[in-house]
Amino acid sequence: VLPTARPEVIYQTVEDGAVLLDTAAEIYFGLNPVGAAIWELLPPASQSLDELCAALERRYPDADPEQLRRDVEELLDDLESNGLVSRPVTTA
Amino acid sequence: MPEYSIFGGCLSADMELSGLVRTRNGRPDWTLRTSPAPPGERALELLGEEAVEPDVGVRLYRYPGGFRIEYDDTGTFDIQAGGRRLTWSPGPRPTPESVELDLMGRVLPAALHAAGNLCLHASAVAFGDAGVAFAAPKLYGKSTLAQALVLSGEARLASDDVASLDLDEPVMLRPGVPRLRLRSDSAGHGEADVPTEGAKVAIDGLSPERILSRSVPLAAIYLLDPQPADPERPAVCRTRISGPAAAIGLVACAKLAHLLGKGESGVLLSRAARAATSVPVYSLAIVRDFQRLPEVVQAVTGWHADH
Repeated sequence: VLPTARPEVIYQTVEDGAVLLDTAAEIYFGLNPVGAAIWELLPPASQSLDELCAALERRYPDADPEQLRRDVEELLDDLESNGLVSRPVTTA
Repeated sequence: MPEYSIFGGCLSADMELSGLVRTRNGRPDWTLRTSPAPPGERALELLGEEAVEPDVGVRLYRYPGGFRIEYDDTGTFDIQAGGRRLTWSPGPRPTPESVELDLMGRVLPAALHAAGNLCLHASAVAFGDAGVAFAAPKLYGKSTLAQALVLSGEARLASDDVASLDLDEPVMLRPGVPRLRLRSDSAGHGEADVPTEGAKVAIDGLSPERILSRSVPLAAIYLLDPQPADPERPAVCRTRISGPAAAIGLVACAKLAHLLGKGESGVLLSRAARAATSVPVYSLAIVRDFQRLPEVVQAVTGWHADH
């Protein structure tokens, strides 16, 4: 399940990427262009990791799909550990 | 009421402000009035707070239609009408000097923020019509560098402590307060005759040709990165930074960075991003060595002076 952006996080595009600002914790987090693209593809733009990666591959057709997928997973872990995204709670 | 020249505009105030230059404008950009009444009740949202002195704090609030800065000693300043109308309600321990410092240090920068500007904690100079800002926290040497550039005759002083940017295209640097405040050990390295008591001394009386009097396009912003004195190291080295690092670097050097939090931090980030997109931002590594200051002046002048 893809995590979603937390509502208190502001996304600001800049030249060569973007900056995320957690207005509650006042944490700034820089994203390179690929990272910014991944952020833009978080729900509701994509509903699954496969869907997100497929969209990313269309944006970066020359990139290795496996590497892209690893980059996505690594960034999502980083975002989650910094409290910038949250995963929906699932019930059995 | 007296009118004063500051930040490239005119402040009309119902008090004497000894550190500012009098002007006769008749169309003030800001008006400051003293209120005999306590500050009015507002729906305040605290944006941030910080310590001015060990026993003096300051808090910045916003409310529908304005901002409020509240000092423990000098009192409360309401900022309304897009930053143009300032109302001071005196606090328990106001002195003329502390009110003036608060006004120039935070209240007017907050008024400029309310008007859409980005205010950096920076010294700034102008080489001809090219503005250059040196942004850094306290004690990083930005005033010393500005002093050296101005006294070399190559640059005019735009501002010592606050670089206010109009985020137009091009981004414009406003003049600030034409006064240098230096640590006493730095002050002795200029040609000016200055007192050396206290942690900081003010250098007034720069001749008019050494002071920027109007806004100029901003050519570069340097984020100072002091380095230990080392004869093997270049006296100065600049490295271009861009993208997220540049925007975050400017936010960190915002004059009111600690006060413009919470709901206003996104506004600050947005303005920093605009500035970083329009103006080259560099990291400037400078060795902490007064003897090598002429090398730094020569390098910075070479980058910006139009010979």
